Amino acid sequence: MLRYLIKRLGQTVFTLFAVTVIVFGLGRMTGDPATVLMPVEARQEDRARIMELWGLDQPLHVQYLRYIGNVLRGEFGDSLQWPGRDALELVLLRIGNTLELGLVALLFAVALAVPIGVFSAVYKNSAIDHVGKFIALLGQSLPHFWIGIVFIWIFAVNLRWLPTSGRGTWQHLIMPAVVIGWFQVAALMRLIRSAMLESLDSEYIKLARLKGVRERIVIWKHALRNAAIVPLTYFGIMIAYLVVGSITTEVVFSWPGVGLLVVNAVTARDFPVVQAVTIVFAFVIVLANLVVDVLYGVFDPRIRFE
Amino acid sequence: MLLEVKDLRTYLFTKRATVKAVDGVSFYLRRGETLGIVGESGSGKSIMALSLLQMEPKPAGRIVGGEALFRGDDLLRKSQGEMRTIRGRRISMILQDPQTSLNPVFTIGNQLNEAFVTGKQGLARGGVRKAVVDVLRKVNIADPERRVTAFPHQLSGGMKQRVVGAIAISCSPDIVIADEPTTSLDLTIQAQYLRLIKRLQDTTGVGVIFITHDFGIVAKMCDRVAVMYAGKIVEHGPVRSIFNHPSHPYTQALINSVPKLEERTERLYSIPGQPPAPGQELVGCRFAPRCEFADERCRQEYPPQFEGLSRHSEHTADCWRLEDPTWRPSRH
Amino acid sequence: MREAQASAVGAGPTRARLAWRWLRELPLLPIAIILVVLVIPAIFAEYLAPHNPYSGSLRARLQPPAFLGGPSEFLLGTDHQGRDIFSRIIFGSRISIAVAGAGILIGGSIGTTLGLIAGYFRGVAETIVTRLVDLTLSIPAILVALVVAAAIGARFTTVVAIVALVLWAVYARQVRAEALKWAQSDFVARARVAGASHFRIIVRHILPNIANTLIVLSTLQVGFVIVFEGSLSFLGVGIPRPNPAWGLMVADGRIHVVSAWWIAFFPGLAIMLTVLSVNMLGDWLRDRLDPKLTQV
Repeated sequence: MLRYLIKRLGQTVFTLFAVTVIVFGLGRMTGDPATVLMPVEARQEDRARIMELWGLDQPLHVQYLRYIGNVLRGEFGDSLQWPGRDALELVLLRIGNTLELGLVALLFAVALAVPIGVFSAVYKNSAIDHVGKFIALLGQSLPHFWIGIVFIWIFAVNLRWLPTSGRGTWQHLIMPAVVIGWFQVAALMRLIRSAMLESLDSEYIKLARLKGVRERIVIWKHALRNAAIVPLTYFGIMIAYLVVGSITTEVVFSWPGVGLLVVNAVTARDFPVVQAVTIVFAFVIVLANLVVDVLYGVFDPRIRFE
Repeated sequence: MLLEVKDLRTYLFTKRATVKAVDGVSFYLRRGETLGIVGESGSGKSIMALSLLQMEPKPAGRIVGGEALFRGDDLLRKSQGEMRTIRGRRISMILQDPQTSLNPVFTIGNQLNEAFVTGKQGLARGGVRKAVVDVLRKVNIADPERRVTAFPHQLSGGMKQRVVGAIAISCSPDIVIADEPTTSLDLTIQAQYLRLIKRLQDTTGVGVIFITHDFGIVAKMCDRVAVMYAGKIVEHGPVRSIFNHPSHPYTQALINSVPKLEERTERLYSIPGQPPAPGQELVGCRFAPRCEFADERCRQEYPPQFEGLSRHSEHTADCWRLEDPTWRPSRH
Repeated sequence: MREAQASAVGAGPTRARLAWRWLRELPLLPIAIILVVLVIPAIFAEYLAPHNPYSGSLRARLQPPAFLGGPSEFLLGTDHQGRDIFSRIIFGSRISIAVAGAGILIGGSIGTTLGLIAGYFRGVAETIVTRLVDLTLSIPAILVALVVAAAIGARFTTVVAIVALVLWAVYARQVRAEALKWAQSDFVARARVAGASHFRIIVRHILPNIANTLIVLSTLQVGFVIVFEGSLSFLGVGIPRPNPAWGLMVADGRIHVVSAWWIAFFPGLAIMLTVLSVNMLGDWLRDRLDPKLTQV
């Protein structure tokens, strides 16, 4: 377990390193980095500050070392959109909102995918199984930026059940969370279904039934606990998709999170903020994957004791 | 009579064909007795055992006929809810493979607790724990207090099978069905396990149905034996009588294929040919295609049951050859 | 003579019947939708579109669809600049096809090549390729797109490049596994004994065997690419304005959703119908051609 964790930690560092290289490389892809990194209308003092912060007059490898040093210290420079505001600070101010949305979306996805997945396996080829397959197909195919707008039109504009956009009450959370979570439902449900089918076919399920255990407990304790191990490995990827999904969805619903921040920053060519968001997102995703790996051990005693 | 099974039929309905996995099986079991059910894999013995508990493999499998009287009550007519109160409490079962029959993510203690709790033994919390430790001790597990917190993968194969055995006897059932409980264990552990079952039976008086493909084990464990071939019981009788005077050619072949103690070989049966393919429509004797004595009638018509073979009222066999009195084994 | 005839008669119907069975089982509805929404408009856009997709008259702005009481000349209504939405959707299909086609072709070629090399030669090449695949798949492509857009601006070429960047890894992973399997097969061993070059073995013996996998994989990627390009364009980091990319049109309609829902609705519907159909076709192909292919 410990050796495994150390190995995973190594991979994590490698991924983060690669992200910094990509961001660094892209920032300096064409000729004069100062013009690339700065909007044309940027003020002279901003330009000078960036030149100094990133050492843009130095050779490339020195620039990278300097860059990595700045990233490690969390210094991405000031935002160009909002002069005087530190880029990382802007991100950290909003990351809570994004995580809040992501967490609710995750809960929604699990709350929907687990029962559908379990029942599709228990009642294979029944109506619920077909409904589940249809949900999975829709989940793969619907563009979520569009579904969000359709939801707004139906539930906010016409029915007036929910607020159109923004953050505030719990009602504000419903539509964006459903839109983001919807896409996870499809994949998660399918994983749970196939894992449950395998689990239900096993000898330990037979033995549990032979013990006279109630069918409810056979399914929800014995079968699901084993079947849950497989989808758990998917959670890392799922969190990445939640982060990604949050970008378009935050724009659709004007949710004041990191996604909306970064899209606005791109439009304003506010490169320090874009960099800060990218690094923070990469960090969150990588960290989530690491946590999932640890959880994996907790859920599966066979790994825990290795 | 503890259990009396009459003309039990369980068919598997697959897309391609109907497989008559259990095709009219009758037998009985008395208190404290061990009945062996012998046959090659695929002869329907496991499906037969599961059918008694209404656990035939669903959705393909369905019990289509017969009755199974447990203390005079037909098990096959009970609802799933009623069956649940019988499974584990009155009739329990030990499965073949201890490696896979314990749930890998729960502790031994947890899985045993469940057996007691669903058994509604009227035990308080502390009582359950004590009962779990007691039953583990009964199946010769050393240091049971510590083992209750262990996960299955931390135990050896033999130990796991003893835990499965402990689950089976936890509610003091009337019948234990053991479905090839020792096939996956090595020979020394196998012998230990068989001695354990024997001892538990002696102390509790439980009726045991012992399913195996090994006539050697039957000789050691059983009082009576039923030989199953392609969904039918072809010969039945007291162990001694069957060993001395096997009347069905299949039984004879099975007994001949038991490796002698002195020449212990890894080779199993050497009966020529294959058992009938599942779903194959069969008229006549199931064994005819592989039988050296078979004639046209064997292939056309299923033989009647001949009783009182070797002058033993309980010894029966289904074989046309027994029509001729000279073929009927007699006791000398 | 009679024998030859007999065998011809014997072989003819079976092959024809097989082909007929294939045809009869074709998922007709998805194929029809793909043709009507994506392929035919892309080919005949100039003839089908009743209006100029790039310019409209401000006097005709925000007109509802014809069937909801709008002017009869605008079937699906007009947007905030008075452009005909129906015409824009028709021209937009070209962008979707172009991005999907170019992205899959480039990403698929690179990924297949690297996957073949990794699976056939093993060793260092395999280690490097698998590491890069893991890395690529662990970084969300949309983040890369945002950085690219911020650094060098979004264009058709950057969108294709980003699509290719994601897809190569998907192809490489799948092809490597297949190549690994075929490289150990008997006929590859025989070809090697016969003195065939590595290049010849890969191209003549391994590649044809993974053709089915590539077809299925590519079909399943079309839907992903169309949604992905749509998302990028929607965020303003994909196809630039005033191109009639479907995702961009949805973005244009977002702020008008209260007063003119049709601006966002119909382009999104086009995306949904296309992607749903392509995915159904892909699932169908997978069941027929390559049932082993895991969900990708």
